Amino acid sequence: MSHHTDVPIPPTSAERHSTACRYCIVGCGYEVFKWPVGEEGGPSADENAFGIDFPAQALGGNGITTEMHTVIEENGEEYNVIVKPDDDNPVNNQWSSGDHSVRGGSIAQTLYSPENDTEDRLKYPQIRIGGTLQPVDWETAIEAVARANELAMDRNGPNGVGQKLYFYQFVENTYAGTKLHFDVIGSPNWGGHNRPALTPENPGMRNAGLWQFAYDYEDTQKADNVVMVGAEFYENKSIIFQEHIQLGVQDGATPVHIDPRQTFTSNYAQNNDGMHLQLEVGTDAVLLSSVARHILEQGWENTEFIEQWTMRERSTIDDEGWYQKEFGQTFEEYQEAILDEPRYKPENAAEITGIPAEDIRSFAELIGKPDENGERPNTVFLWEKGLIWGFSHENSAALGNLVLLTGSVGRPGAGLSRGGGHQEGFWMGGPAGEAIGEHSTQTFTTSDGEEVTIAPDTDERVRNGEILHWHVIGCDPVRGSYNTQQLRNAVRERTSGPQPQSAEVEEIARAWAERMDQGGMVLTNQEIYPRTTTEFADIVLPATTWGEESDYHRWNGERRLRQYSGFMEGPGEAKPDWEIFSLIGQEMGATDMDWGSAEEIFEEIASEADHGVHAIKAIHDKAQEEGKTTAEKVSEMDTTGIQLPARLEDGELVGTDRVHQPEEKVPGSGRFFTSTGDAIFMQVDWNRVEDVFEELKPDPSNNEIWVTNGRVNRLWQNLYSHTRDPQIIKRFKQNFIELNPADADRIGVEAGDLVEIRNDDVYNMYGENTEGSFTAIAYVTEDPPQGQIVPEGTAFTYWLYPGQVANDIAPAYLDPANPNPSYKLAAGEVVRLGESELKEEMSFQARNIAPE
Amino acid sequence: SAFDSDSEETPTETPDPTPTETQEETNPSESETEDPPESPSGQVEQLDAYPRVKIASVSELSTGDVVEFKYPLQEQSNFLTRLGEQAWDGVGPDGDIVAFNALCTHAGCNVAGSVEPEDSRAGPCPCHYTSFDLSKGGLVNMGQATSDLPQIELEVDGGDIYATYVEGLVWGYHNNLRTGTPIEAAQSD
Repeated sequence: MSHHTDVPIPPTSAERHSTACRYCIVGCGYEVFKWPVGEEGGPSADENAFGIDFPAQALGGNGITTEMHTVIEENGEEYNVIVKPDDDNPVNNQWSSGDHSVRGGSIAQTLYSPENDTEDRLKYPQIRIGGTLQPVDWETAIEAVARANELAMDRNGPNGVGQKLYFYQFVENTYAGTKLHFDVIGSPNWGGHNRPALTPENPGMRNAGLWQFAYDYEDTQKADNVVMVGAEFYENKSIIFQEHIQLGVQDGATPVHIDPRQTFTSNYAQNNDGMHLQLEVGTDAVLLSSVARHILEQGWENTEFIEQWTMRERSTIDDEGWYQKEFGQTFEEYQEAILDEPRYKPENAAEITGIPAEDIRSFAELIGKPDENGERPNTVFLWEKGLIWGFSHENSAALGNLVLLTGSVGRPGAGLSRGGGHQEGFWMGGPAGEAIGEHSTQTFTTSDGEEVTIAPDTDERVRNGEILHWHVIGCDPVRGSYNTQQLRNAVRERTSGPQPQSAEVEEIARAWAERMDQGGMVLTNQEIYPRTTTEFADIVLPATTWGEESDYHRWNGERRLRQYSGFMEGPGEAKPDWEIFSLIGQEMGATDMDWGSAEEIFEEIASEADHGVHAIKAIHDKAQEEGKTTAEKVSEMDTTGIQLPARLEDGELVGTDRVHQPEEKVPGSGRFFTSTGDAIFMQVDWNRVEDVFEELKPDPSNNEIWVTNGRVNRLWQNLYSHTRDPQIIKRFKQNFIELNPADADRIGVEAGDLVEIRNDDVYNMYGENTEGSFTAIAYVTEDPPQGQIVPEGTAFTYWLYPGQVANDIAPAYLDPANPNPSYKLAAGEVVRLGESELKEEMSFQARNIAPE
Repeated sequence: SAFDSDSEETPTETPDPTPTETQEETNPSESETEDPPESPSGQVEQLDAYPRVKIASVSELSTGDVVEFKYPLQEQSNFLTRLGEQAWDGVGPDGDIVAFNALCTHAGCNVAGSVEPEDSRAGPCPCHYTSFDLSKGGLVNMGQATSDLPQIELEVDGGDIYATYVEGLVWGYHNNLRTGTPIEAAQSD
């Protein structure tokens, strides 16, 4: 492929738009320059929109790469567009200037453009007529969606409808989508893009009163220890690593990486006087509880903090809610349980986790032991999906307990946060609790024998027939759910019944009614590109996305709210998601969804959001005082934005750097998010999961190994944009599986072979175990300079590769109290299929070489 | 206010990448950084086409050697190396001699000091740790660079190695042939 060898310089007259990256939680500030093709700025500072002299200076933040530029077309005119990191905001400008990840640095390549591989963007609404998706007009499409909802509700009440919605794609869209689902339809069957129920992702922390994005990025610069659990920060939260964590480490902080793989971040930790605790897949809760036990045995717990800031009365905990009553503990109960559990003795934990007892003790000392002056170490605890998508209650509870035990929270250099995947933009628009309380068909039996209604696992309800119309928006559940091979089989079967024979709405409704009566389902897919789920769709609704038309809002991993400016039109007749929801809602009789713009929705949200960690009413109030809209006020704050919650202090608008400070600054809350403002220790009982763990473990007699999965540096989520960028996708033209050479030798494969990963016994808590398989290119590195990335017996693969879906073998185990899947705990047999054509083309160099 | 303090806490001084030597390497014209000429475009020359320039001899280049050279502008640093394994667009009897521009395509730091010919690798870059596969056209193996390391096209003529072209945009430039001082093209014997 030929490379570009030049880029145009924006003239001083170029339009500038403020935004933030379209991808990960880090949320770097970005700016967009747009100007007509044919005009060009000059290389001296007074001749261009950047105000710099070319050539740009290293680390100076204003170099333009070919990947930052594209040409778009609007109304027959061509425009240059440059999407580049902004060099003036606190996120991506701490160590160097205008820093960016490989993902953010190539956003321009994903814009809808004749120059980019984006021709297959969805442009027109479509309905499957006579078995084929055909373009229809918007009116017919909206009417058909409303009819599908009504037909499903006629047969099964609100439970007949399910919605699967992204959690992240801007507050205006999630607000409108959840208003449609919970308010207009009133269904409990709701799943986010990454889990099948409306559950907290870190139940052991959230129910303890801990917020999952509590810190300020700069806390890692001030910390004594930066502990990263199940999260590959260099690859996937790159700019937090490069601009924040490494500043802390250069200043003496000890990095600790807890992960079954020896990644870049592991080697970075080891090369910088830190630790890599390379535990066995799935054993995080045992390791972390063993660390807690050593802290308790040594008397290093932060007694002052525990006495002042945790719930000490059993009855107070019981009053908090059923989850706290079931799992919450007073400190004394927690201490007793940890000390009574022999598996948490470091020597025994070493057997289970593979971490030597002396390393467990060293780590406990690092985060727990006060110095000779009684000063306690400041630790920032960071985690992500390696922890979350194992045993979600036990794992998140065990880490939350360490935060409380050490009292390392809510002061500069101390705190907790997820690494996070996508940015956050979830705003509930309807009465979800009411819908779940009244209509959910799923319960949990507490240890007292009480049946508690919980949020239903909606993916299971697609499989078992309860959901008759599934509205899937901006995510790809037949790749992204657990046990996806079986889910695809169910969706294929349930959508393959009677088909409409014309686009007349009555005929459409007739066919779908017949299908539903035969146990089938109608599938609506609201998307920007056709994806795997679209293959099964009856209705396709084309949506606009990042940068297109509307001005949107969401926040990053330190709750920094910013405006994402619309700077270009969407393709064809595509509409913003909020507008599609609004049209469906109005078709179904809603009178309060007739918004005229995204800005109007933001105003509606902001005018009421006066409490909690995402309080933004202060911005609204300040805007009113100044005669502006809330969106205009946020826009003024450019790429810096404001950290939520926002408050007015002496009439001035201020943000909040970190939550859980002793003088809590979250409106309507105490220091921790419980009724009393005190946090709660949570039970970590390995007995709850041990039997399942034994079943999930690879069976050596079937040649099985762990096949865990996750993100890698160059690829984003289900690759909706990255399959379209040749510079990005050429690194991994197919899915790959990292194998230890010892496993590769035993199996008889070498780097570049095409392999299949099979499991004919995928765990299913709801019924019979099923089969699953996917293919991948074997990635084997002989003699890497800093060690093998995967240990013998453990393989790693990309999680959401199109057509080669790792979740096809992900077990159907979801915590009975909080149905979150254990995606990471998959196992399978790796079998050689043959040599891949990528064998000579692909690089198999070590991916974990850190600076020494 | 937190909003204001964010701005105040943003360091205004130049970042201090480690090792410090690197920064000197990455800013070949440091004086420009501190005191930019008033009108650089007015002073700057440019090339109309890539020159053909002798940069080394095959017989003098052993496996594992790394030789730095300027091309096509005097301000543009490149490195030539012999990997010991056949490489894409490699020249010489074993097809293992390759050359690349030395600036990491992520943020412009110099990777010439981080070339490991025995592993066919440049990097990790001293600034943000991108590494490139030199046997595969400078492919980004890992890290934040969005484009491959620009490969210098080479020709061997009578045992001499010539640079003839740069495949890819050199970081910091809008055009590889603009805003700098052309090197003088050597004539072949």
